[in-house]
Amino acid sequence: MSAPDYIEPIVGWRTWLVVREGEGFRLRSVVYDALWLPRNELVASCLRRALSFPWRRRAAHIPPARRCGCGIYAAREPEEAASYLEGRSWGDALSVHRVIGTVSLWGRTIEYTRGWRASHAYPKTIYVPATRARHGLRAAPTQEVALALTDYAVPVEVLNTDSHAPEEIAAALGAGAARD
Amino acid sequence: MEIGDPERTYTVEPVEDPVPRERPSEPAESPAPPSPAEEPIEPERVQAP
Repeated sequence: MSAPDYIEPIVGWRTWLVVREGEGFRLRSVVYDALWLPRNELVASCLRRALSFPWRRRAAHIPPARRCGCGIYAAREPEEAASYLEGRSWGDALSVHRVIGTVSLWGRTIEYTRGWRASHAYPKTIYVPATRARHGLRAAPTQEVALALTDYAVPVEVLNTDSHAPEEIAAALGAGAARD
Repeated sequence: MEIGDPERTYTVEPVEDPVPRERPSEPAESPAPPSPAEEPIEPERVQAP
């Protein structure tokens, strides 16, 4: 067994979908169908391998692999993650909100110029925008979402801005909270 | 998510658990022994007439 390179988790930025699960709300990845459970880390598995055609399938590997795109993503800057607050994905049919926040990353980690891919992750802070981006999608009351997300036992705050522009979201976040 | 170009790979093993785990429920405590003040007082023995 080799010694780890770092003993503190990496902290990056992410956007999550908020979906209704039973009586409560849960975080879900925007791009892939990965549910983040309260008080349990998300462990990466290579969904790209599982979703590809058999003849194009890559060899089994431990995520994140350098030659694959698998792993749990986080951005170095909040603006990068905030750009996903405005987007729309298949998962939005199930979601009631989109939230942004910081995430702890650990395990096997690949550092990029603007972020990371890692094998393990858990939310560190969750910020709930006061409004949901347009697109005529269902939305749950912000306060209800914020209260429900306290199940994750991390700080949850409501962002007092009606804007979803990445730079304004970053300004509302106090620009650089995760970097401190 | 667009995160740029890969630079290096490493291992992170946090000393402290980043996950606020559910604390295991504590075993039910056995009732505390009665304090001397609460101990039953034995009835005073009285000589039979």
